[in-house]
Parts: sequence; C-alpha cells; structure tokens
Amino acid sequence: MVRKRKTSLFIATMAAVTLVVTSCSGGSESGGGGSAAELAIATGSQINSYDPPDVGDNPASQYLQPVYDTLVRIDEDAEVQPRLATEWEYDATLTELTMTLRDDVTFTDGEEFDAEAVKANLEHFLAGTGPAVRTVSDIENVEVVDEHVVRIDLATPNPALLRYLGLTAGMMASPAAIAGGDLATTPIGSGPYVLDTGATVPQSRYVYTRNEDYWNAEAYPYEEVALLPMVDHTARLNALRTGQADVANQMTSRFIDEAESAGLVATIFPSGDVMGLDLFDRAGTFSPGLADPRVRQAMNLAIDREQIVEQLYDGRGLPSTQIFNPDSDAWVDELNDAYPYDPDAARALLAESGHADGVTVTIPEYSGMGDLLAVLKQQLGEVGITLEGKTVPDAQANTEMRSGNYPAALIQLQSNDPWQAIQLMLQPNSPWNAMGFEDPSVSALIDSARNAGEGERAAIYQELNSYLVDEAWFMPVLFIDTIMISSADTELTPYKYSVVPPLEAFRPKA
Amino acid sequence: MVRFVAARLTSGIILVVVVSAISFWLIYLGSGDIARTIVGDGATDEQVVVKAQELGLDQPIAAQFLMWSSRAIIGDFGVSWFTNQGISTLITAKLPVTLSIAVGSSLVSAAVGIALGVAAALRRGWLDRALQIVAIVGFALPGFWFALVLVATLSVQAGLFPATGYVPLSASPSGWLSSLVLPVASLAIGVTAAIAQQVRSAVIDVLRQDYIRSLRSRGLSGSQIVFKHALRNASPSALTVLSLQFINLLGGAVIIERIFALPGLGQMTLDATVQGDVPVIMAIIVFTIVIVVVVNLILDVAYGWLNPKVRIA
Amino acid sequence: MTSALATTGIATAQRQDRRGTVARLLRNPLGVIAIVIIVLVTLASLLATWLTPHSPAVTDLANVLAPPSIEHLLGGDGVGRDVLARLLHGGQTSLAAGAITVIVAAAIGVPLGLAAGYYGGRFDAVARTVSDALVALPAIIVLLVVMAILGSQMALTMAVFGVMIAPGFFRLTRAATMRVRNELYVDAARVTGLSDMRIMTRHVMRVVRAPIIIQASMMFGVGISIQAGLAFLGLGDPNQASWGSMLDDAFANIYAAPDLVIAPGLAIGITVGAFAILGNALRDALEDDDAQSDTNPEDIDAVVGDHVRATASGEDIVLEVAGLEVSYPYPGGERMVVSDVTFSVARGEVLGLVGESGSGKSQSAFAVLGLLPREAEARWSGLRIAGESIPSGDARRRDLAGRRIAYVPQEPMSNLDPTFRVGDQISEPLRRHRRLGKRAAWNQAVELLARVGIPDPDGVARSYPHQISGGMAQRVLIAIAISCEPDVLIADEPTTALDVTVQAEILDLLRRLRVENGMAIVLVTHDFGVVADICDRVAVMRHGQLLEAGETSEVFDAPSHPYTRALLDAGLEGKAPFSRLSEKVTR
Repeated sequence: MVRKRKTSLFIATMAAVTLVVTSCSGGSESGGGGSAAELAIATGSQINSYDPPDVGDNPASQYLQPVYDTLVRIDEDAEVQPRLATEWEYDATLTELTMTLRDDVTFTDGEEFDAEAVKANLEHFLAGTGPAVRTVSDIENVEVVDEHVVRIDLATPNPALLRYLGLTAGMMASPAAIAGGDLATTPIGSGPYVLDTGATVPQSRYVYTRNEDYWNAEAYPYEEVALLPMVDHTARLNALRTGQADVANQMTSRFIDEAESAGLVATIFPSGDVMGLDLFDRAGTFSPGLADPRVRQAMNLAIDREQIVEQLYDGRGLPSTQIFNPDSDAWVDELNDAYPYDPDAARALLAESGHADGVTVTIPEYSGMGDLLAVLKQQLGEVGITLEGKTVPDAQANTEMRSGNYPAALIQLQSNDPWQAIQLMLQPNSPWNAMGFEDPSVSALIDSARNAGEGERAAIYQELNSYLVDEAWFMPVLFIDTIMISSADTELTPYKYSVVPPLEAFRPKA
Repeated sequence: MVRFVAARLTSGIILVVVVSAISFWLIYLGSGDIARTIVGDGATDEQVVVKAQELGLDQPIAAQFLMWSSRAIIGDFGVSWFTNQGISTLITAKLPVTLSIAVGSSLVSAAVGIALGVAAALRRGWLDRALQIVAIVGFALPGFWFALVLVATLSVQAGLFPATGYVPLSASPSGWLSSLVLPVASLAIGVTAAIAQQVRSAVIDVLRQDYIRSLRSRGLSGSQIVFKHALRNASPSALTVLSLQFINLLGGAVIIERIFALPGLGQMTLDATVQGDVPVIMAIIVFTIVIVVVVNLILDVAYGWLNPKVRIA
Repeated sequence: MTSALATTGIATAQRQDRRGTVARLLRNPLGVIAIVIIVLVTLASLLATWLTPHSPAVTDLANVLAPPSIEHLLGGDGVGRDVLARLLHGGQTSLAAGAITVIVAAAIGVPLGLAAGYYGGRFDAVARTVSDALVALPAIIVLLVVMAILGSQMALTMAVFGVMIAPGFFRLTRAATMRVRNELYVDAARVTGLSDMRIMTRHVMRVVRAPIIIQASMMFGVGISIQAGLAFLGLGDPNQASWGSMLDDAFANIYAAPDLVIAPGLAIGITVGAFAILGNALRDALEDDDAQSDTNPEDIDAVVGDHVRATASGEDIVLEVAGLEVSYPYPGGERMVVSDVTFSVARGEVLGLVGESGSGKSQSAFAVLGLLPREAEARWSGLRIAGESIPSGDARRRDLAGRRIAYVPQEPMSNLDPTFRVGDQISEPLRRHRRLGKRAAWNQAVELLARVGIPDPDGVARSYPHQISGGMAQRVLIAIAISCEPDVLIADEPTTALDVTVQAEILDLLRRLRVENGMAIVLVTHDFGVVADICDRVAVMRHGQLLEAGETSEVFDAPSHPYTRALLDAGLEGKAPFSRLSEKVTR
C-alpha cells in the first residue's frame, strides 16, 4: 500500500524530529512532595530576578527567601526578631540605628558576613529601582563601626525601618557576588538553601538544596525546596491533589470546601492587605464631586462591606473603613462603625452636596482584578455614583494607576505597620498618592509621628486615622485573608500579615 | 521537484523577514512606556531614561529593528528585558514542550481523523451520522473544557495521569508520554473533528470520480481502491487542513499549557505579550514562523510529490 | 462530438433546482435539528431582554453562587449575576463573534482565492505570499497585541481574527478553483465564448461551494471558541456578557459551584455543533443534487412495446442478461431507467447497444458490470457471465470483474487515476488477478501497450495520465481491460470522446482484439456509423426498453420500428437538402 507507506514515513519523520528536539532539554524528573526530603510549593507568582533591589516585598520575594538571610526576622505574630542582627538600638533622634551582627555566618561562596557586607548590600539596594527601594530611601549613610557592628544613618526617622530590614531591603548577598554583577541570575547568600541552577527549569520548577553549613539548620527540616509557578488556581490545587506539590499558596475561599473534602488542610490568616478605592482626586480635578468630603462619605455609605466579605470572600476577610492594619496601633474599633451600609443616607449626602444627578469616577480596569469591581460598580451605581472602568493592559496596570491620570483606582496594598501605609499612600510623593494631594493637617500629623517615640506614636496614628476616616480620604472595603492549602502531612504555621509565609512556617508533620 | 523546494524555501525566508518586521512594529506600538514598566515603580525619571538608552529604546524603530535582526540572524536573540535570562536558552528549554503537544496532537488527530473520515465516507447512513455527531461534539466544545473534564476525571479522581507538569523525554520516556496524554487529548479532540470532516468530504468527492468506477470494474478490492487510490487523491485536502490545524494547535497550546502548568512557549508568550517584553516576543514570533514554514514545507513537498503534475515539472 | 459533450456538461450545470436543495436538506433529520437549534439560539439571544427580567450585569450579593430557584432559574454566578440572563445576552456576543469572523474571513478569502486560482500568474504569487504570511503569524499573539493597542472590544478583535483566518478560505477556494479550472467543461465553456466572470462564478463556484460551506460552519465555531478562549484567559471585554466569560467565572468557582460550567459549555457546544452539522447537511443536500442531475429524468411513456429480445444464436454464449430492470428513488416512488431488457452475446461476437442519451444503454451496461451507484436498484430474472450465474440485484462480481468481464469507459482522461503512472495502473489488475510480481507485471504492461498500438510503450508506461493524449489514454484503458484476457468486454462509447481519425484506429484495435482474444464485446454507442463498422448484431434502446434487435445488416436494411427508422434517417448522408432531419415518431 503505497499510501500507507507514505503516511508512515511522514509520521516517522515527525516523530523523529520531535524525539530529537525534545531530548535536548534539561530538567530533572518532577518528583512529588509528601516526604520530609522535599517541600514542593505550588505558587501563583513568578520571579524575574534574584537581585533583592529588583524584587518587591510582594509574593515574588518567596523565591529569594531560601537563599538570603535578612538582618532581622518577622515572626508569626508579625514581631521583629533577631536573625543576622542580634541586637539594635536607636539614638535619641531616631536617625541612627546601631546593629550588632552575628559573627559566625559565612556566605556560600566563602565570603565573611560582617559590617562591610551589610554596608555593601544596603548601598547596592539603595541604588536599585525596584518597588521596595523607596521604603528605605531615608537611609543616607551606612557606617562600619566595628567588624560586626554597623550604624545606619537616616535623613529623617523611619518608624518602619526595622520591619523593612526583615524584608527584601534586609536581604544580605555576598559582597563578591554584588561586585560580580549577576545576582539577578545567580543568587549567593548565606541562607538555609542554595539555588540549584542545574535542576532549575525557569518558569517551571525552581529547586533549592540544603546549605550544609547553615548556622540554624534545625529551623529548616527539608533537604530540598521546590517552587512551582502555576498561574491557574485550579492547576495549583490539582498539583496538590495529585501529590506533585505539598502546598498551594495564594488560593481563594472558593477552594476551601473542596480541599477539605479531599483530605487537605486549609490554613487561613490575615494577610495584612487592604482592598478598596484610593481616591486620588481629592482636589476635584478630574471628578469635581470628589473634592467634596460628603461625596466621598456617600461612597463609603453606599457599599455593604459585610455582605461583600460574606458573599464574595466567604467570610474570609475583615470589613474595614480604615486603611490601617487592625492589629496595629492606628486601628480604632469604633471607626469601623462610621459608615454602615446606608444607600439612602448616601443619596441624601449626594443631594446635599449638589450632586444629586450623579458623580462619575473613572478608574483603570484590567483583567486581573477579580470580582470586587463588579460589585462596587453595582452598589455605587445604585446611589448615583458611576464607577467607570477604562480597560488597560495588565502589565501597565500599576503604571497607569499611579500615573496621575485617573481620579481613583482599585487597590490592594500591604498595610502592616502604619508607617508603611503612610509611606505608600499619604505622603505627597507616595507612589499611591498618584495626584500628589497634600493636606496640612495630615502632613503635620505625619511629621509628628515620624519624630515621636515608640510610646507616643499610637495616639498620633489614631488621630490621623480618625481624620482620614471622617474626611473619607479613601473607600476601603476589607482586609483580605491569606488562604493556603496544604497536604495532610505538612504542618503550616500561620504567619500573620504575610501573603506568602516564609519557609520556616513549614515542617513535615511528626 | 528541487526547484519547487528551493522556491518554497526562498519564500519562507522572505516570509520570516517580512513578518518579523511587521510584528516588531506592531509590538512596539502596543507596549506603552516600556522602559518605565521594566525599571518598575520606584524608579526616578532619570533612571527610566538611562534604562531606555541602555535598551536602545530612544532610537527610531527602523534602527532598533536593524539592531535586533543583525543579532537574530546569528542566533543571538538577546536577553529578556524583564527576567534577564538568555532568550535562546529559554526557548530551547520550552520549545520541546510546546512541540510535543502540537506535534503529538497533530499526529493523533491525523490518524484518528483520517480513519473516521474514511469510515464516514464509505458507510453513509447511520454510522456516518453517528460519527458526524461525535466528531462535531469534539469540535464544538472548547479544548479547555475538555482539559478540565479530563483532569477532573482521569487525573484527580482516577490518578491515571499527572494533573500538572512536564517530564522531559530525556528524563523518562514513560513519564514524558504520561505527562502529555491529557494535554494532547484535550487539543486533539477538536482537531480530529476538523480533519475527519474534510477527509470525509474529500473522499466522497473522489469516490464519485469516474476512475474509481473504472477501478471497481477491474476487480480490485475495496480496501485497495480506498486506501491506495482514493486516499492519495483526497490527500491534498487532508494536508491542507492538517497544516492549518497545526498552526491552530500552536495557539491552542497557550490555554492548555496554563491549565496543565506546562512550561512551554504558550505561557511564555502570554507573559511576554502582556508585559511588552519585546525581545522575547520577537524571538517567539521568529521561532513560530520558522516552525510553520518548516511544517508547511514538509506538507508542500508531500503535496507536490503526491501530485504528479508538480513532481515532474 | 465536442459540442454534444459541452451541452451535456453545461446543461446539467444549469439544471440546478434550488428548491430541490432545500427540500433535500429538510429531509435530512440532522439538518432539520441543526436548523431548529440555530433558530432557537438566535431567537433566544435576540429576544434576551424580553425573555428574562434580570440584567446580565447586575450583581446581587445575596445571589452569589446561588443554586437554581424560581427567581433565578439557573442560579447566580460568582458575583451574584443571574446566570440565565448572562446566558441569553451572552449568546448575542458569541453569535456575533462567530458571524463577524466568518463574514470577514469569507469576504476576503473567497474572492481572492477564486481570482488567484483562476488567473494564476503574478496575482496568484502575491496573494499566496500574503496568505502564507497571515497564516504564519500566530493568531493569539497578534490578537493579544491588537487588544493591547486598540482595546478589547469584541467586534474589532474578531474582525482581526477573521482577517487572520481568511487564508483558510483562500487556500480551499484556490485549490478547488485550480482543480476545476482545467477540467474539460470549463475549457469547453471557454470555447463556446462565455466570459471569464461567468465561467468563474457559474462553474467554479458550484464546485467550490461545498468545501467553503463546511469551512464556514467550522470557522463560525472557531470564532466562538476563540472568543471564549480569550475571555477564559481573562482578556475579554469585562463589561460584556459572553459564554466565554461565563466559563472563566465558572472555572474560578469550579469547586464551589461545579454546575456553573454546564450552561455555557452546553451553549457553546450545541451552537457550534449545530453549525457544523448544518454545514455537513448542506453539503450532502448539494451533492445529492449533483448526483441526481447526472441521470436525466425523462418521462417514461407508459407504452408497453413488444417484448424484444436481443439474443445471440447458438454456441458459446458468454454473457446472458434477462429481464433487466434498473430504477432510482424519486420523490413519490421510483423511476425506471431500464425496463425488461434481455440480450446475450456469444464469444467473438460484437453486440451494439444503440440509443440516444437517456435511453438506458449505459445504465444497462453498468448493471451488468455491477457498477451502478449506491442508490440505484437493479433486478433481473437472469444474469450469467462466463457461465457463472449472479443472483438478482447482486452488484458484487467477485472473481469476475477484470478477469472474465471488463469495462472500457467512455471518457479516457477522467478514468485514469491522475496520481499513478500508466504502467502501474495496468500492472495493478495483473498483480491482483495473475499474482505477478512487480517487475513481471510491469513488463507485461509494456507488452500490452505495444499490443494496443502505442508507439513508445516504455515511455508511455512511465508517464502519468496528464502527459498522454486522449487517444493514447483510450488505448491504455483498453489495454487495462484486456490485460487479464476477459471473456466479455463492455465498451461504453469508447470512441465518442475522440476525434474521427483516432476513432477509426480504436475500432480497428477492437476488431483485432476480438479476433485475437476471442472476446465477446458489447459496444454501447449512439453512433450508427460505429455500429455499421464493427457490430455483428445491434439492439436499439429507447426510454429504457429494447425496441428492436437483430443482425446489423438486417436492421439497417429493413428497420421494423419507426424509431429505428428515424434514427437511421437522422444521419446526414444521402439526405435531401432542406428536408426534415427525422420524422416525428409518435409511438
């Protein structure tokens, strides 16, 4: 049969080509999780660079955690604990932070960890352009006081500095690697694991093997850690169910029942992320109505926070009228009652302010936004406030939102330490104060908070919070929860206010 | 025949150049302020300008295209603007995944589609109708719908195949096959239907030709007539639809790779396009066109070889 | 002769009964179902506003993931929108997506394909390059980039997609156009002076429409699927309800409310499926239309003639046909094309089966050979070929075909498989029936070619059908027919398609072979000249019945039936100028 021969020849050729091409690829076999030897985490984020200044404090930093130690550690109660730095102290002006460092730590390339290393790292960080850099831009000098003592000089006090030194800003890489210039692709730190570049397949499987000489080995029981980026929630859960992963992070409440019925464990804790509308245009440039606090208050009255949390998030979240973390000094319980769900009152306020025929607010809209926007549009629309979405490509979403071309944006931001929120949203040059709005009362309060001692800050923060809520600077909706799903033989300690908990949160169940 | 092949090769090369140029221009237009997106939120304006100069973004498009193509010709596609990884390495790592899926689906659907199409053409009546319906259902439901159903039943419930991940052939042939079954099945179902339809139609047409009747008069067996003569004459239609479907498969891989978390070109394409990672997108386009040109060349050669008027000329 | 052929071709082309097509379509149960589904879906989508009180965009938090209820017949989705409302309104989006895709693609691809296939040359080259370029561009990437620049409006996106898949139509149309372009009847039409445009639209479109229609129905489905896919990736227009965005929401909530995938999945599946089925059904209806018009229906006079038989005398009868009837299904019953035909042929004899087109002579020949189309029904009271009896109605000829009884067709070029060499096609039956090896069969093929009078047998054997002339092709067909030395040869108008000089040679050849091989030959023809030349006996057919039979000389000298007389008189020789060509025959 000539035709059949031709067909089989064709098939054979294609098969041969495929075989040749596919056999030229690296990567090891995907082993499953489930043993103490390996921890496999299915995660929703991707990584672009292993160089700390390039990476934000968002979930992407989980790819750097295994390799780098930080100066301090944020524990499961969101408290600052020693790590590479054993003690620290501020001076009276709160502009000089002196830290004593461990003397028994070496980087995996043999370099010593010392004050010089800290200086090199901080300077490298400050020269970077990533999203976390501005959080520590107050640092104007790093002084090597002694071999293992370093002093950080600030231009102005930074109440959240210690916290930042437990995040990307505090990650310590080998100075030799910094000088070598390719930290972005080859991270060298002093952390519990080392990146196994041979076994790592970019965008598929990132493998970290144990650092044998690590100074705190007991805290990290796994021989190997693998991070598996998977964009799709269902794919992550499937990986977990079929044993290819031990943990699926960044899940949503809609998966909890199914996970539990499959014998998996759902761990839920506050993420410290606040979601809501950031009303940039308080001067009324694009949307004149927004200049009137009554209009902004009307917005706050128009949405039913309780029901949103109950129905959209299955109760996994905390309704909030405030932008400051519920556990922080700035939180005031009573403020949460300031805006009950009252569409009639909202309409009355709008009428009173002379905008009975409606107000239009345009925000950037992109595909990764989720369901909240649809509900907000609906509920605001019911009182006469039109929330108009202008579609922008996903990648430019952040840039667009902060461009200053929109009166508002729907945001989800980390808000742990009140100072963090202030830096992010309230200062004239804050990235999320897109139109640079300034208010003398707010500026004054921020200044006093900056210069106040630990004890006095709480009161100032609360006063600031009340002002912001009364004036309805924002329209916060809720603080969402982190939802993690793990296999039955993995023990997971909830780490408050993290979207993705650090590695030390995981151990094999005894 | 040689001249035929040479002509097709030349047009293929021209194609690569032209499409690259157009794509470059299109992407450039669509990427907004790329430099700012790359350096990120915290950057000052000066830093953005520096980055732009570093990447050559301040030059006119034509100059940038020349820069890019002069390096691309020797195989240097540069590094990703966002991940700083070498693009050629990235692509050689991911290409096998996508190719495995696309070629696998093509082969499976060609084999099944031709069989179904021939069967339907021969046995009109209830079998033909039944096959039509089955084939149509396969075509009508989206590939990702099948993917979800297959994963839920065959993987999560029955544990027969992995739900996510890709095993390279070099690591384990059986693992490689196993990780491909569900993705290939999801994609192949729809393509099989399309091929079956065209083959059925083409075979019916051929069987109505005079020479088929003459062949019957010579006492040749039914299978000889169908498989030797009819299929050969019906093959141009089959090859046409096969080449079109292969290109569809390359696109369908984007969605399938996401559902099965396969580290192929599809995912890379999506990320790169959304971010505006121009070097990556250009590299992907070039590779895709090259694949398409090669596949089309193979199919055209088969076409020409099957058609004596071309073969002799 | 040429004009007669052209007339047949064009006449049948003109005999396009559009009402017949729709009728046939409606008789196909699948076609009906498909149409009903499409109409229902379209109506439901267009009337969405009236069919449901709910808006597809209104979110109702109390209704999030709610199961079906009186208020919300299909429940609520992940944000509390009414699923039924989204389904109905979403239908508009999805149908529009499919429609835009197909319309744009067809509007670009079909005309360009027609022009490229017909005119060829530089236009074709340019068009093909553009088409290849479009095809090579990965559709998804281009769509992503376009959406990034111009936004995610569905209409624009699907129009761009339509442009990208236009090459599908272009290639199909062009390929089919090229196939048809060189076929005889188009050349004939050119000869008779029809303009290019008319040629193209008439002939080519008719042939090309079936694959285009199927392609269109597929493309409709692909359009819907692509829109659904983009929405699934989260790239669709967030303000527009569509089945794709419903699937996206359903997948995100796949565990919390698994049945959310059913409604949009079914909607897509059923709609796309219906279009595909419709495409198939349309194709079948169109094709059956062609098949039927090949056999010209004619009114059958209910005249019962004398029972005429054309029996051979005496020894060594190799073919016996008795009471042959052939009928075709026809609306309201069946149509007889051959009625009560009886004839036989002895070894070494040539029987001519004569009549006008539509007389049933070819149908009788096919019935004997078992080559009637599927829908035909043949019955007989007796059929013996080379002594072997064949049960009534059985079309299988088992060992007889090619070995004991062979067929020489009318139209030489279309009866050779264009993709095989001449020598292979001759060898084929030899290898099958005589079990010869490849080389032996080839050698014998070359010998046969020499035997039928081809000057360069080696060269011709190695050639393809398109490289030889009509006359040579006819000789090849004869060579194939006699290759296994059959007892009976049925030649269906073997000289009609050839010019006069070649005719004579072929007839000489047949005469020679009759003697050399001792074959019985049944020669089907409408040409009395041929009958006079070579036939020993003749049988005259009209309207499927045998009117007259006997020795050729006798019938020619003294025809008994008026019809025979009229046919004989219709020849131009010896005819008085300005007199009527034939007498009108009333019986």
